[in-house]
Amino acid sequence: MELQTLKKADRPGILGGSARQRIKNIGKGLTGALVVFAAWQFVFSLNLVNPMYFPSAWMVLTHCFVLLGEPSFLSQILVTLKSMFLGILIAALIGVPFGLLFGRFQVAYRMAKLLVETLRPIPAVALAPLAILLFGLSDRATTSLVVWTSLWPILINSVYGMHNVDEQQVQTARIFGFNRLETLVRVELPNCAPFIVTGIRISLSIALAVAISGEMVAGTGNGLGGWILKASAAGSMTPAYSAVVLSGFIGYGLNYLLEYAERKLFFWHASFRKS
Amino acid sequence: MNDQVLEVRDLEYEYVTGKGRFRAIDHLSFSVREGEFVSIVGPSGSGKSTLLKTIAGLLRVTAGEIRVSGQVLTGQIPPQVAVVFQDYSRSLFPWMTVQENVEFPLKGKKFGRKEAAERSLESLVAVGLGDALKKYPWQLSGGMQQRVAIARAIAYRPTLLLMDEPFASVDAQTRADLEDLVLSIHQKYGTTILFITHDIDESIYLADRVLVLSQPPARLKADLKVDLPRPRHQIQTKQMPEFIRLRAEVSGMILQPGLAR
Repeated sequence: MELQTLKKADRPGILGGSARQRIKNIGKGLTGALVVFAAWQFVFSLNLVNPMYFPSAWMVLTHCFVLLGEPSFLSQILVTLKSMFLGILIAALIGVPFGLLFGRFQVAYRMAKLLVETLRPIPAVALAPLAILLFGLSDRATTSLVVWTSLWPILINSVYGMHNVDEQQVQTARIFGFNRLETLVRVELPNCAPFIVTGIRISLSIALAVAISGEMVAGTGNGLGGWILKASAAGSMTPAYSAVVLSGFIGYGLNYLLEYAERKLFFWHASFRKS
Repeated sequence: MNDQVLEVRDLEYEYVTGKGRFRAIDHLSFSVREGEFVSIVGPSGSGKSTLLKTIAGLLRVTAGEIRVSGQVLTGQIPPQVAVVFQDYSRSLFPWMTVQENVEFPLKGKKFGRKEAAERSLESLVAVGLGDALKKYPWQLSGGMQQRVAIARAIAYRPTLLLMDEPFASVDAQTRADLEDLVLSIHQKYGTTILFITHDIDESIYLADRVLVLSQPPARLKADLKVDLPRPRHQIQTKQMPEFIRLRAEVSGMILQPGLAR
């Protein structure tokens, strides 16, 4: 019984397990955050660093609410989200078909593997100069970097999803008279869907980070990245840190939403089943 | 000649592994008449499942000929053949409800939505699952999941129903229930059934004819007529002298006393 509880608490996603367990987990998470918050506040109170460059935790947190009331700031969030989602969408449109192809045909997989494994570790920011060369200093440059980053988790999860399709399910559909295309759509795709969405969720958090970095190095001063850069250049560190903290919350919120969607959509999948 | 649903002539099947070519089936010939219940029994690894896959069109034969309803198979999936596999959990679709699983082969075929729904309901009632329509397969016990697979097969109204050790992964009581269920379905729908098993009792209990396969490469060792009255009964049928005689005969062909300790 004890072991069972431990297992549930360790499950990924704080929504796993019963409602009571959920509240317990949220409580634990908040405790951790509070400890860090208190430590920050404590270091600040020691007056070791110039408060100009290192504002107090309390100031940063309260300023978050100020920022959330400013339409000019909110519109910058939208700029970043737009680059991010557009990038993920394009990455999915490329990654899913190729992933399914590589997953389905061993030859294609073998041909692609070396290339994919070589390209995948290249950080998006290293490609920023190339992106600027191709698209100029623009949101498109940022989006292209997001595409690069998001492509790999989506591609690899799609391959993995296809490898996980049970051959007997495919045979069943074929015997019942479904042709290869119908079998792909009605049997293989539903099997792959949970993997694809997991790939998208993994991409999401990296995509947000890359979108903000992209706006810092290849942007036009727009978006969260541009905003943070301008704020720190002007010496207003509290707003800059608040924007950083808020981008963290945005990432958390998006991940939470997608995890929720996964559980609702793929309740039938072995990893989400309740019975 | 025209009432032969399945004709297998001089069938050979070879597969290639890293170590060379292996012959799984060797000059196998038999046929199944319409409405007949034929079981195939043989030692483990005797190529029974391979045989079933060639008949289902999933594997291409190396030599020989398979005809389903008179049509020679040349790499295509024969129309109106249904299969019930041993591993029910792998052939039912977990994202579909029980009803959707049964309707799956009907939808988009020549059936409308309404007719598909009627047929699936009728089949599910026939297997005793009329009240589990909205459940998901993984919420059911193993035996119930296999009932869903059987319902899906009969809703399809196959001219030939292939069953590949369908009850090998359920407990003994469930197995007996499912055997009797298949018998009742055979009687009700007159479905032609080819039933693969390694269980000698089961092969005799269910069938009109028992085909005994040899050790690999699979050849036909015997084609035995089962002269037992229907409906069969789990206890009484198995006490009849004819049953006991057949069991001894088949056992003698399959079990090799020389190999036992």
